[in-house]
Amino acid sequence: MLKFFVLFFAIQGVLFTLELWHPVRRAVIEPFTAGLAGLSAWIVGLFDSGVVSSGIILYHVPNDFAVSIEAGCNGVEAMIILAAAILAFPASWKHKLIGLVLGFVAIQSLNLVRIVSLFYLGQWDYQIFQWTHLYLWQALIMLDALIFWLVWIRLLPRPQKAASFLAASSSGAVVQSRTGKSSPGRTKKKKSRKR
Amino acid sequence: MISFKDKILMGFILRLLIFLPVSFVLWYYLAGYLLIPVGWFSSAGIEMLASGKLESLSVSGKMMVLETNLQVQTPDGRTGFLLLEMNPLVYCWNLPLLTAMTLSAGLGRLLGLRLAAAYVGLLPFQAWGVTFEFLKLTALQYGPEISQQMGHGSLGREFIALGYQFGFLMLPVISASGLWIVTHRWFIRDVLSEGGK
Repeated sequence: MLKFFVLFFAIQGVLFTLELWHPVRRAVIEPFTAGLAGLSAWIVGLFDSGVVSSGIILYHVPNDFAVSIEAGCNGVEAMIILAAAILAFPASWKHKLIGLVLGFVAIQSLNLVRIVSLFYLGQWDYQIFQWTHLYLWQALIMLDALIFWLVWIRLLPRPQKAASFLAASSSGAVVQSRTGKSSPGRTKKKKSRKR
Repeated sequence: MISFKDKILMGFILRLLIFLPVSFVLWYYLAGYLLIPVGWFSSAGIEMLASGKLESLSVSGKMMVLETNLQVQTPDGRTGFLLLEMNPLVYCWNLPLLTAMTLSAGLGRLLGLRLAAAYVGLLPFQAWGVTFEFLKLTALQYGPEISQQMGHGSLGREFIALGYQFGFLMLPVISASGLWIVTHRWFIRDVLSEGGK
């Protein structure tokens, strides 16, 4: 478990530093965010023709309302944390790659919902927009990453092996009961019988 | 695939649908009280990184008011001290989230202790955000008059910029997810054990 956390934090540190590094920002993060704005404009355009995007800005022409997709709203940080959790967990590279690709899709799909919903919430009520933008959607994106990670580790082949990895350094041992159910966090003392 | 037969994971997700909105509403209305310890930790953090610059820190409603010893001159030539107001909730939204995740994992198993660990464990990370926002505003944003009094070199300003970004973008998520995983290894094992049947 300690190994998991060391790797988890180390990978996050490396990826976050890369994200902030100017060349990576210019070559990867900014075009990606602009692509996200373009995709959001296209989705909104399916039912609202007055929307255009320019760079990282999503603009509603009829009422002059615009939102800018900044760092923290492009889902990159959530992807960094999910990637770190997947890469740090003991699994084959094939399963890690599948997890990374599907995790990207899961986070960015919900992120598109976030952008589109905030775009309309902002036009409707600024206070509600601020509240959902600053607090609620942040939490929902993080939950998305966490639930995806739980589903991913649950679908791994031989999950019992992974379970034993989690148990390896925890305070209590996993004890197999007669029904085969594990009783985590508890230890059974062996009874010695005098003969 | 995951199905309704995966009772532990599905139960967790369904309980989150109930506990998350409840936790968020309670957190928002109790924020004035919950922020007080964040203020203590933030004062200590600011004192550590900008010694003598903070006169007092208080919670007013859902905002934090920071009275500084940094001098400012008004256009008519009078001198005063800089007073800052900031929204600390942008670093604290992980508390209702972690509360909801803790409650959804199961109501037994030392629930009180797990909730207390969540609240106390998040405090230093939330204070990090407030501390670095204070440093960012004073050392980078409020102009050369304030920045000179802060006395940070170029490397120090780089460190502040990085610390602020880290505290705003990453720490709220890392702290909540890390704490939840540490205190809920038994839950993750249960999810995995169910998958192995």
